[in-house]
Amino acid sequence: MRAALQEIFVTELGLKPEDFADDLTYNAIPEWDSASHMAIIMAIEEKFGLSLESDDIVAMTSVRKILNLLETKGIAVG
Amino acid sequence: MVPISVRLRNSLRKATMALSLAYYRRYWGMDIGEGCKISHKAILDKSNPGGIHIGRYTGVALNAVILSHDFVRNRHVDTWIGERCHIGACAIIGPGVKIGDGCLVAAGSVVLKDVPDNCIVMGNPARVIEQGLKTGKWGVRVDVLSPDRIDQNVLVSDEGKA
Repeated sequence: MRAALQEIFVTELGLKPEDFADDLTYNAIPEWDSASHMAIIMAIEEKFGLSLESDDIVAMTSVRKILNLLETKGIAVG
Repeated sequence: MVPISVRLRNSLRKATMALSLAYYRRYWGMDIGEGCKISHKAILDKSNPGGIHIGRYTGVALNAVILSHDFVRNRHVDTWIGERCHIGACAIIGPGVKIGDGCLVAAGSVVLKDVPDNCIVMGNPARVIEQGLKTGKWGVRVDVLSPDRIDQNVLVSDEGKA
């Protein structure tokens, strides 16, 4: 799952794969702003077949939190 | 030195903006707060103009639609938009929706549910994607910019008093 999320970040934000880290946070880098946040959410929903609620979306403020959230949604951490 | 054509254009725009706000308030009876900037191309519901309430220092961009009547249910409702909001281009605010203070509605969003204060909403149907932001006049963000890049004109000096 981590690899899949990394792929989403690389394609949606144009990050280098090595820049993807667990402590990456929303608004901390210019690439990850509100518009690209929405793109990430759409990509996650499509990739993992989820439908995220507003509360989940607001809570997704770092890579670590996204991974934890996906884990609670029953997606295995690989 | 700003060219004279640009200065003329700016002053014309300022004058027509004031006229258009006066027209909305006096002729249509809409409740529009002080210091709002409403694009000439924004569409405010004329079926129930008294149902439109827009707080002060809110910006409404071009082709945004703010509705205050529900045709299929044949009713007039009140639509509220808070202060220091920004309604993006081509956004649609559904009838009866209440948008809190300091909200940003992204371009093209379709807002059908109430929005709490200080949020960004985006998409169709619009979803909250960030909370706790801080905006100045017309929804300019003052929390993510470095202090030297913030235009002092957007700061509201008596925030929260109105």
